[in-house]
Amino acid sequence: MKTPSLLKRLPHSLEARIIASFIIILLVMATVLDVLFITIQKDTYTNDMQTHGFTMARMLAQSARTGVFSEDSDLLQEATNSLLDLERVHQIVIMTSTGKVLVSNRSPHHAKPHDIEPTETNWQEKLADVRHSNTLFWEDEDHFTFWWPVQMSMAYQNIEDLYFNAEEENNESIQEIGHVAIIIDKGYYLQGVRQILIRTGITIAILSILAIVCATLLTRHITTPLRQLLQKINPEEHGTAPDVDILEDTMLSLVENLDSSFTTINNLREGLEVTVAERTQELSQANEELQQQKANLETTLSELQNAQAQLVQSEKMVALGQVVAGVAHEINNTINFISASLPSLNRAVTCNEEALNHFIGTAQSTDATKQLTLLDEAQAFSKEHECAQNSQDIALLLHSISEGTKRTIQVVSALQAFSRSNEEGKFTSMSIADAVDSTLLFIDKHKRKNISIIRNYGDTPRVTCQIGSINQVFLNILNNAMQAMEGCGTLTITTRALKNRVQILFKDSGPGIPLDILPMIFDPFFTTKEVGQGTGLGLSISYRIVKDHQGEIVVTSKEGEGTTFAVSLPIEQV
Amino acid sequence: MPLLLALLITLLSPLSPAWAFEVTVVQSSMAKPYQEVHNSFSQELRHRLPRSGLKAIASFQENSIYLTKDDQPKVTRSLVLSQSPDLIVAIGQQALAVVSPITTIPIITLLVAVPERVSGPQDNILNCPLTTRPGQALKEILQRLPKIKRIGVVYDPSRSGSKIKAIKKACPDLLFIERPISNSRYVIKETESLAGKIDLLLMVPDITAVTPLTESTYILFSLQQRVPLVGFTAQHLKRGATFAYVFDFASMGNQAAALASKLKKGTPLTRLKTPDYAASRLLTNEIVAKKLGLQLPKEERP
Repeated sequence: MKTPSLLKRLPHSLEARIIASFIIILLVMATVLDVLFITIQKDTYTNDMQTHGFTMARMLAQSARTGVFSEDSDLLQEATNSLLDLERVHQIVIMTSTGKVLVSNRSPHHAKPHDIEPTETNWQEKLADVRHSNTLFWEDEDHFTFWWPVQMSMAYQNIEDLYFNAEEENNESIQEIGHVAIIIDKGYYLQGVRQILIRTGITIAILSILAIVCATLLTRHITTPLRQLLQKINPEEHGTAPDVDILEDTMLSLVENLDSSFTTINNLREGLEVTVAERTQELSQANEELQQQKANLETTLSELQNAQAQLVQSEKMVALGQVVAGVAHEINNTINFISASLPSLNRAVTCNEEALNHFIGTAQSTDATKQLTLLDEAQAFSKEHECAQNSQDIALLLHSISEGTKRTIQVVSALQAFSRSNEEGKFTSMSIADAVDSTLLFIDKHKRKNISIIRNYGDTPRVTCQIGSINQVFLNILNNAMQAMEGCGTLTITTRALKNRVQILFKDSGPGIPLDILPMIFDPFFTTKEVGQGTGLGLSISYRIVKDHQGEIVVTSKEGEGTTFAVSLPIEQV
Repeated sequence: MPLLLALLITLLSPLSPAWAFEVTVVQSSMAKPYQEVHNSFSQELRHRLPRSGLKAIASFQENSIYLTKDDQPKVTRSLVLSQSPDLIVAIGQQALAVVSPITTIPIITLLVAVPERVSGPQDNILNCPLTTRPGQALKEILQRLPKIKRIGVVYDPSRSGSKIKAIKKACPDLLFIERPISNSRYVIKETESLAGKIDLLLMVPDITAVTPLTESTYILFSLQQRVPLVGFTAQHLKRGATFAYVFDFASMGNQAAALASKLKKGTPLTRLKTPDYAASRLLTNEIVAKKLGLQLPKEERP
């Protein structure tokens, strides 16, 4: 579609109006700036011309002092020649203070046949006007004239001035001895001004055209989205109907649409709030349920912990029962010594007591005959009852009782050494060999009846540990070994000192542990025994005890060749 | 007792004027020559006078008055008289004009060329001369430049005729090319007429022959003709003169102090003898001398 011209679009096109406004503003600004620049340049040029003119006049006055003083025209001629060579200088006049014209030279560049040379009287009148008006710059139709006085210091008044005023240069008094006038052709100045006008005008015009083109392009670029928008809004009326009206209509319809949209959004927002409230309530309920579940889980955990504690306790009780059984067996053996000896001892003592009473009655009789009789009876009694043999039996029985008592004391001591229950948690130095030996005492004698125990104790230092706990470890390992060997085999116990540690090896000749369960033997509640035979905590407790002692417990096993438990403990606890 | 009383009265009474030496210095200008003369006078007098009496922490009492153009001579004179000095020192012609009506107090004048023109003959005025020994400048220059024979001089016979005669008399071996003038406007032409005829141009203190404009003429001639110029002030030397025979202002102050000292010691004014000529010295502008091609003996250079 062909776009109408700017003027035709002006009434109804916003873009056309903006461009037109720009052009008008730029033209006004260009005109104002043109006038301003021309004025400034003209003033500057005028000032420059005046400064230059006065400078020439002053310099001429300075150099002409001697010539004016001596009224030597030839001397002055030389001073003016160089200035007359300048194109703009029209004429130079040098006069004395009395009005005598010493030099009046015209430039050959400006010599015109119709020029009339002013007379000396004319110049005297002009000099009088200069003095009267005290103005050194004159301007007429064709020329500028720059005047400057020729001055010189006065002569000295007396000899003292000659000596001392010459020392003080500032004390010189000045006297006017003449005037110089430099006449400059005004055409030169007007030509300069014309050049300024032309140059400035052309520059401003070019800049204005560039500015208008730039403004037009910029406006078109800026209003491109607007045009595209209008094209989309109303392609039929674009370019013919007023842009602003189209925009206004579109805007109003947009506002109406927005109103209805806001209403819809408000409705949606209210529905959303209800939904959020419902979801919040559901979340609260879920949270409460979670809290309840958490409380249940905590209760369950507590119960499990109690159960675990009970299992640990039962394991302890099993171990204690085993110990008690061992102790009871040992004590029973030693008590048997004593209880079996007591009836024979009682009988022998009673018999010997009666024989003794016979001998005592013989000794108390005063009649010798009777004494002999009684003595025979006593001897007969002693012989009959084998009192001498009884005395030997009493000694043997007492020895047996003593042996029984001694063994009981040993058992009790071993039990004390094993349990140390009253010192639980306390670290004490102990001999590993003694600990193993005391633990072996409590192994069921029936289980180890056909098991040979080889003690291969090395020279090991004492170890600082919790004696009861370590004994429990040893008891667990020994029980497992006995159970594995099923009452027949060899158990080799080796102790040896390593660097800062003591290692105890329990090697049995049992069937070994299958490889698939070997990694699980230290897990809590893991057991290969039948239900009710074991808790599955023995080795896991042992593992924990050794770890608490900063030690290590390692098991190596090969099916058919036996199992070795290696326990290493640090000599000192850090 | 009467003796003790007399001693106390003597000690406690106001100091007698005879015990101190009061000097009032009246100075025409604050210009450098005046100031230099004044300072050297004060220092030399302080050095010469013995210290005595109760007031004699300083050896003498000095009051200074500096004149300006607006000063009323009568008022200044009254001020001087009110100080009742033992001696008045007038430095410069204007100062002498102010104090010359005072006839009862001795006056020593300095930097005054012809005091009689100001005050007329007076018995209480003793003038330190402001003239140099005739021909002395040329004699000193000849010691440095013995080839010089022809001396050019421009002067007004009515003002400097006798002075030129005295110079010629003092230097009989030299040839003087004289250019007498009656107006300063003839100086330029007369000076130019000396071109190629002289070995040295002499400026004399003549107010007809020497003006601010002609000073430039002499200097320009000297430089153009490559002829040494002899001036008589340090300014001449500064502006381009080759030599300057100038007053030694410090020595002039010392000469005045010597006269004042003798006066203080009781010598009558009429019996005091002033020097015939002012102390002077020859200055050389080395740069100009070099540019003029003058061969000055090294040992003689100041």
